[in-house]
Amino acid sequence: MARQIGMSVVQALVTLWITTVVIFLLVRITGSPVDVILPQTATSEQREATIKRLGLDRPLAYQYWLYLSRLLQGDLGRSYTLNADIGPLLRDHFWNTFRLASAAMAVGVTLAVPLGVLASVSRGGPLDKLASIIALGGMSLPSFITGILAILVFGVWLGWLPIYGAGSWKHFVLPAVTLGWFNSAGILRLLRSGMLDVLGSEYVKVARAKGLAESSVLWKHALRNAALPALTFLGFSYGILLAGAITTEVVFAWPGLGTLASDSVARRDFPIIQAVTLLTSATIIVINLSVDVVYAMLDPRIRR
Amino acid sequence: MRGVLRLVVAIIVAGASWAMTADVQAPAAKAQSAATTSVTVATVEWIEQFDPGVLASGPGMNYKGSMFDNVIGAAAGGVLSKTTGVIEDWVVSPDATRIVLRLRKGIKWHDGTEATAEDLAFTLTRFGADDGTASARPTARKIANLEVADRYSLKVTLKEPDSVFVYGLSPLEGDMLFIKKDAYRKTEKGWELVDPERPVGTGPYRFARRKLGEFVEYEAFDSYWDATRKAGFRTLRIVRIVDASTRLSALRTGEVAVAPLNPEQLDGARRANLRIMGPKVAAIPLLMFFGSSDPAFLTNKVEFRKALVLGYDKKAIAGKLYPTAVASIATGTPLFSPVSLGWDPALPAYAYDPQEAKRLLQAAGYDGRPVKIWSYPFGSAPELPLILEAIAGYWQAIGLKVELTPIDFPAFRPRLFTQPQPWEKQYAAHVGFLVPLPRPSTLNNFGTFMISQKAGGVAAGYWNPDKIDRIRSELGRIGDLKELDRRLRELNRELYNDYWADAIAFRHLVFGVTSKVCGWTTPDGMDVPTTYSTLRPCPQ
Amino acid sequence: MADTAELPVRRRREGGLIRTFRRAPLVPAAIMMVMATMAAGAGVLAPHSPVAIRMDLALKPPSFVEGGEPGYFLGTDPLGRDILSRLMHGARASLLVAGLSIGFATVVGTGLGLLAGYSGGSADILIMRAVDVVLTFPVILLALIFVVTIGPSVWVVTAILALVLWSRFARLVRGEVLSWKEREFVTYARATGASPLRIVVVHLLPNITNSIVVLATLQVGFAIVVEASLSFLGAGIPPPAPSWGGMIASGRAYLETAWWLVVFPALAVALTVLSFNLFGDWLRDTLDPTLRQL
Repeated sequence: MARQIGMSVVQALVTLWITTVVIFLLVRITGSPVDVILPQTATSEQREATIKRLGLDRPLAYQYWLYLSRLLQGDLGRSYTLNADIGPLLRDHFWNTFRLASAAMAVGVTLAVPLGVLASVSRGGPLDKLASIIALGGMSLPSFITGILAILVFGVWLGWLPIYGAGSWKHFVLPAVTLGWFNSAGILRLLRSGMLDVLGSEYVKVARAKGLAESSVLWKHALRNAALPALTFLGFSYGILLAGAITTEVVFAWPGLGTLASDSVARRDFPIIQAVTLLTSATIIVINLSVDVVYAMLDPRIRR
Repeated sequence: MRGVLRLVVAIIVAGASWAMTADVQAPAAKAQSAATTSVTVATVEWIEQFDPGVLASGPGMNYKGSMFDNVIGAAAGGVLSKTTGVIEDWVVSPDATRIVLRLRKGIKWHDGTEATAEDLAFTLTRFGADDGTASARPTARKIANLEVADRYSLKVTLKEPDSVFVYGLSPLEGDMLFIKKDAYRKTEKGWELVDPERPVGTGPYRFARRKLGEFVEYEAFDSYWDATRKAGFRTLRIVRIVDASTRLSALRTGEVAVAPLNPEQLDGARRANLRIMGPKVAAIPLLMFFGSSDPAFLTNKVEFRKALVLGYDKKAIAGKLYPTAVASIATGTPLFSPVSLGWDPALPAYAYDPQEAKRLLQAAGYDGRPVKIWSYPFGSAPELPLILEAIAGYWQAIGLKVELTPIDFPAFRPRLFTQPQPWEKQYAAHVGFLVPLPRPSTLNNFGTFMISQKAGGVAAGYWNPDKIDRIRSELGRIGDLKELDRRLRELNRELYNDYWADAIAFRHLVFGVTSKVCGWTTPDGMDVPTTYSTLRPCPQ
Repeated sequence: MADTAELPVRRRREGGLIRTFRRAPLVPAAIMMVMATMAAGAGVLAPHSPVAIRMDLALKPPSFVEGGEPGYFLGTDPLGRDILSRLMHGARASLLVAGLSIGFATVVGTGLGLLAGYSGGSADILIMRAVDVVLTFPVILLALIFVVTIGPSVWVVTAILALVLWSRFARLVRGEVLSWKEREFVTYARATGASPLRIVVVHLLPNITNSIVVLATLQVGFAIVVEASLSFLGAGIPPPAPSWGGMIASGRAYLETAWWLVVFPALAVALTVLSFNLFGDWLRDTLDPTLRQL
């Protein structure tokens, strides 16, 4: 088991390294931050001079070497356009995205678990269909539209909640619900099918025969067993939430990684793009690894 | 199994609730006050750093304009002012090579010290430095020598005669702001702020605090030198909202008091009882014929250029996409605007004449090659791709083949700098928008948009580079502004029939403003309001 | 004996063929048919050209609402183009992109999944690492990067989507192969000297097809929604060609003044995605209810 984990960690590091190389090369193909920084009146000479000053005229391999050696010393570099160190910038924005993803996860779970359990009970019946539509509704509208609608309804028309930025707990509600609804469909579907499986099994029949209350059978015994695939999905989608959610963050002006990513691509701010990608990839890898470990611990069939 | 599940759920729930309640920062503005003491402005761009010599123009002004003063001020109608900048008077020698600048007495920096001519000399030096990237840099580099004559006077000697030099020290022709010498130190890479987290200016607002990527807060500076233009609100907060519809929603909920709007949002804004304010004639979307100096492209011929210009309905497009609050149709020769020297109001807008356009296409010998349309939005004009779609439709209707290529400007821009510019020859022409600022001197715009690369131009959009290079250097030698105005007007009339480019409209910058704000002075002819310090609250 | 051993084991459908299809979800199927017809026949069925500009008819509401223009059933956009026609041509674009990317992802993903699952060892590790790299790479970032380099186009969107999706297919197929690999009939086939290729194609693939089909159906909705998000970020199918996502993205500024610009394409997206998902659910329940992990 330990050896397997060790192997996974090594493979993860290799994956990460490949990612840094890929993104490093890719962004440099997209153009240069120089063309974003310089005003309209800039001349060719000024452009050359700025490129030189930023060190962008050096050979690619040398630039990568500089980048990697600094990275290994913990220095993420400095933004070209913001003239600020990336470390604190990234930390703050990551924390904001992490909070949003957690809130969205909470919303998704809160929405999906009761719906999933109840839907499986009324199998094929009206509650089941309703649950499907609610959850699938979240999945079939792009999140930027749900976000904009949520802003209009709850922010502008009703005036209940603030609509942009991060500040108080109120600022979390709209973006978290928008993201969470999108996520809940996946959780719901898995939970529902898992429950349907378990409810027909011997285990449950025995529990019922023993005279246990139906609600106890449902919520304690069945749910526990049905939750395994849903759990995997949870871990999987947490990573997605952290990585993506760009559109939601842009719509709500949420100061997180998504906003940072989208801006820095537009501004060709290479150091930020590289740092964000690295952080996102690392996060997903860590989460996936943890999920794999948990899964392996719980499911003896996979352990080899 | 049970244990693990419980643990996971507990972690998620705990994490979520802690995360949401931790680190509450109720915006200080809201916590403090009744409505009138603070104002929140939303901005699109995010270039928040506080060294005006770097990354200033356009986007950067949002963050710097309120805490720094102009060197020479500007007044309504695109005129220089002796009352709104830190320079109270200037004298230009008859041969236009020497200028004496007189600094106002008693101007205080935010840290309490007094501003002197040393600071003025430093300002001019820093803006022209190698690491400077402000749009005022070329102006500053025209300087041959600086001499501090006394505590409040500075003698400037130019390398060459330039009668419009002083315009470059004002917001009309650049982004120069008055900076403090002791706030900087020299490093091997150039100039650097001694304390980037505590920038100092002389403006009506003083930097208070910021959270990188979220907001910047300023507070009113009570010792501002001009008592009549003190800050209207006690606190100014600038936040960043990228999405246009969220900005409008934020105006409607009142979370933001001032925010830029896109043209299509004006209706919605009016319905929500928001007022529309902002500087007029701030940008001129100009349809350029790239590479027209090359005979390989049909745009080298006036017939073809005229066909392209007459072939689409400017009034219909501008009428529908540019409500009057946003823009007025451009009239006259491209690059001349109501605030520029040489303006001739009698010249009408180019007409829409599809029949004539078709005839001209034949006369020019159109061979069926497609016209490449480079389509990208600009910060000051996000609607350009939509306009290009419309124009493409009209051109197709007169028989042109078009190829509309969406791209973003930083990907497109390197083409302009490459020598020679790499326009692909399998197309009949290359067109795209650039957005000049309506510079009063006009000549500086010639430099950026018309003259050839070897003469120092950038876009090199004029089809006859020798002619325009010659004209530019002739006009640059004229010392007297009145004479320059007259000569430019002659040139204006001559170039009208050249159809060398096509200006769509004189675009204003539109901001939605809530009922919290009752006044805002934004002199015309500048591409961003240089300051939010002229925002005035409504009387209680 | 040899013949029966060659017969691959099949799942048994509950209740026979007829009963199965009578319980099919008709409404979703009907909607899918309508969308497919619109997509295929857009050129013929659309009342107007989707790119013809009529500035004089800009922003007209649907014809059944006051102020609407007869002949323009669902209204017009800011350049006077007919929404209904754009919706139909957009169906073609969105469904084509979804279909192509899923098709590509299915083929590549299945192939690699089969390889990884059956051969195991280093091929398995390599392929799964590749899946990891793809999955951990922030895709929207990649899309933005592609777009600023190559410029947006149908092919860039298709490539991005295919890139995201193939890894899901690979993972699924690999998992299925792993569980089927140890069955008796496969061991028997191996023992009788059948080549790996034959085993994979004849014995394993038919049993896995069900899950592949279900997954593919369920991914259509995802593909359409991602295309919309890409359009929102400026990386979608470029103008003037209409796509549902593009129409929603560019129309959202007019949400309260010209609601028809957003509502109709959003409805189209929602209905299509919902239908594909419900149909996919039914398909899974019918073909192989044990595919819970989908």
